[in-house]
Amino acid sequence: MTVPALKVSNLKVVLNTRTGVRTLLDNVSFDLHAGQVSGLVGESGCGKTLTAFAILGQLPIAGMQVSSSAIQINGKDIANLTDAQRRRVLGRDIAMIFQQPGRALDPVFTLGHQIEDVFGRHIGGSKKAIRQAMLDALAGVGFEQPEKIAAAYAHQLSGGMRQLAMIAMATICKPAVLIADEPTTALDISTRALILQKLGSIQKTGDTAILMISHDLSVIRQLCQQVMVMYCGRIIETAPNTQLFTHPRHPYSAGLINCIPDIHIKQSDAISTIPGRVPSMESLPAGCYFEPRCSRSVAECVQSAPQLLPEKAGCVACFRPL
Amino acid sequence: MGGPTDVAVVNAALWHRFSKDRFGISGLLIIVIFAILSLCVWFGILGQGWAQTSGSYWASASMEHWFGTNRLGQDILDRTLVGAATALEVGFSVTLFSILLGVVLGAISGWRSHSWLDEIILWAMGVLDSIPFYLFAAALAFAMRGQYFAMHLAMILTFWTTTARIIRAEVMRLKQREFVEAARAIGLPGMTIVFRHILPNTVHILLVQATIIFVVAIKTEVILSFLGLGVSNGVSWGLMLAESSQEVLTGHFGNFLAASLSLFALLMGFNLLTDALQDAFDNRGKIV
Amino acid sequence: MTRRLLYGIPLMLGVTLVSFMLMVYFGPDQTYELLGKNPTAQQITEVRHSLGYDRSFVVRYVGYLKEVVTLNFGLSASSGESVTDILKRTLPVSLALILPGFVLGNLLGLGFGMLTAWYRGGWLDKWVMTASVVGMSVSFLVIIIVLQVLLCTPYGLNMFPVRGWQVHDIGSWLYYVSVPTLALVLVTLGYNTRFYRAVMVEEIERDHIRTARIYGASPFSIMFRHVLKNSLVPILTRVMYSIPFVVVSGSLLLESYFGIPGVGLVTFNAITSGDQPVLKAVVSLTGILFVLVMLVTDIFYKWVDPRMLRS
Repeated sequence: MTVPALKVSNLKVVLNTRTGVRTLLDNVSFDLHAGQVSGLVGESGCGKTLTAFAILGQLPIAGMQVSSSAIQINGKDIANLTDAQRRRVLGRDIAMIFQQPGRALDPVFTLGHQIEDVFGRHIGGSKKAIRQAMLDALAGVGFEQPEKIAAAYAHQLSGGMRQLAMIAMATICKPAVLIADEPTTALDISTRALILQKLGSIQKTGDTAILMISHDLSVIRQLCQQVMVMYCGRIIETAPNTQLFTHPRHPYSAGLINCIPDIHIKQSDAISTIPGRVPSMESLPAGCYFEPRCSRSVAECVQSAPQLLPEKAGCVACFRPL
Repeated sequence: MGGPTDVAVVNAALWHRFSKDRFGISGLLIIVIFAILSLCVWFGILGQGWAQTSGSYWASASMEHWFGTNRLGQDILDRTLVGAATALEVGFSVTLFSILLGVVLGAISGWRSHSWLDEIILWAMGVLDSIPFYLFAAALAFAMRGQYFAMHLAMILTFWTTTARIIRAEVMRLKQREFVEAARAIGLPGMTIVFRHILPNTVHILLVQATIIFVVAIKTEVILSFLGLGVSNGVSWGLMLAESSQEVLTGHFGNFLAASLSLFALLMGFNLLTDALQDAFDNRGKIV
Repeated sequence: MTRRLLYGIPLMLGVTLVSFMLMVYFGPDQTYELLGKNPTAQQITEVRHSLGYDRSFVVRYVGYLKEVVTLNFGLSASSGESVTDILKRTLPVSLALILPGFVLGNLLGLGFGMLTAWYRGGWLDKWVMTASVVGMSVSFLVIIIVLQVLLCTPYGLNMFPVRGWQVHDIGSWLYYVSVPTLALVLVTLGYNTRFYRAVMVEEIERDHIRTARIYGASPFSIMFRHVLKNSLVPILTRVMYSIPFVVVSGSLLLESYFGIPGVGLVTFNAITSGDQPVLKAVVSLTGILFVLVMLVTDIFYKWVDPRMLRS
């Protein structure tokens, strides 16, 4: 078994508020492998983006405590680094692209400048070499006139072009791990396809592990080989793509997948929804988080939280998986 | 949706947040103390002997004169108390009228933005902002033949512009919102919409502005009095400081200390209040 | 750009009109100043004619406008010196007085603002904010008096002069400018720090700063390149638009207090003596300065922020 590109073990994030301690991420564990796209799926607010920021050591708010038994890139620990050490890793061994590239890019610097910045900081070299690397990166994501893009500012480009530029910035140092946080959510359908195709070709080179965060199951289905389903800060199922979409094991996953509108549904059939609502941070159940909405719950589900256990080709955290 | 009840609910919540702020409450307390002292002066209870000269010049603090006396033997404590009353009077009147003027003109300007009316009001704001204030105050003092309220007028006529700009921006922003569209749809006239529905949503901004203007007004009065353009009959902290500027060179600090410390206390009170209000109204989420 | 220039014209008209009305038309009547005791009716008429009081409002106003355009304001009523000469003499003095304090006050404010924005919520932040509030609560006059006592009198260090301006080289310049500069810095530092902090905090919380962090940028790079460059528009606006205010009002108080012969002192004397040519000149200059500031700021905007190039 090769060393995973990214190993996350028992990642836990708690928030100290005036009214008590809230668990935002509970024992999140997963492995990412080079040449594979893993999807992290769940409703908005379930903690997907928080997971990414926790891995990067970027948690924004005071009062949050992060703990983990391991966060490693290719076996090297990145959880317990000093600030200076972490700055050497971020952008080089692990990179991220965001939902709103227009806001994520600096408006007062040209795109070329920003990309050169990243390359120069981590790899370095002569000015000519850096500039060439930047142009190559832009050409690599599909720009036919990289010089023009390099001289442009973010506001002069379309959404899709901005995201491609971001991908160039993210991949220029050939990171082992690429995190894509809802990269296509803010784009229109045609651009979406372009970006997904680009991410797919990165995956096919075999050097990078991609973590695709999304709430959009169709995107996940299209791109990811492995999928992890998150609910209220817990991973409740992981499975290979085909298995998840044909035979989901966790009732929540099943509910999500059934929610995808299917063009073949007859008009008389209702679009199914998962009954109930996502519990708020303050009132999480003591046992399984999903239990209040689950049609298969038993006494055990109320009392204790199920662990993520291997089941067929994946893992599921359920006492009564489907 | 912007109606009166919602505003009341929001204001109650903001007041709750404000009351937790110790600095803000202390600031408010200081202001209240000064207000009470000033009322006592106005009702003739305190400070009445401020103009009375006596034989003991530059006396140090004693039982008879708690803060000592000045060059003319006048009781410094009495003068300080009357100075407080003056400061509050100037601050209050200037603040009230600048805000009123600023709100009205800003609202009109914002509601009819980019019309000729707006352009005129903006032009007036530009002109008033470019005239050097002290020249304006001096010119007004001359034009009004040394009337006491020339000072107030000079301040009101120049201070309204900041409030007006803020209100104009707010009105322009809020008039895009749905509740305004709804009000228009049921046929409410423009000015009613502005005054009854838009402006109540600006009360928190106006409160903060008021505290800021109060501070500026008092500080300006001090400098105007020093330049001889402010209070002339009567006493203010500015006048006391002006007197003391020569006295301190020869070692008489009583006048100076009394005026500067009281001024500092009152200004701190208002500045703390401003900060507390701004913090209470800052809706930026503290949690993710 | 030309649109701004055109906008400047009604502004200048407004400024000159208001100041003309206040200072000249309603201003002090100098007829009797110039005449001795018991003037005859004819003498009165002559003087009034020479002062131009007998002409109509419009004629007098147009005459004023001509002066503004040609920058020729005649002779000072108090000293008889050409107003242009007075300005040539006093303007450099005021600049030499105000500039160090203005620049230092802003640089220090910027520095503190950046520090407190970066270490937001920490002890440094709290201390600096408290100090700022205290600084904002002290009157300029009080600061000047205290500094004078502490630094210029035997009750304190007695290192600097109480008044005056005998400047002929750097050493003497430092000797005379230090206390006023210190006063100016102390009075503006509180306001400046809070402003810069607010601007920086607003910028630091933006997405692209998060991106820079996630790509490994150092704190120095983040603050001085990303945050600062993005904040230049509001910073520039405030700094530029504070110039007329600081130069005119700041110099007024400092010069009249320290007896420094700059534009402020001349203005102050003109106010008290009703010297109209001088007053007219100063007001016009301030108006012109304001318009200049507007134009230059616009140019700076385009330089500094590529988004501005769009308009």
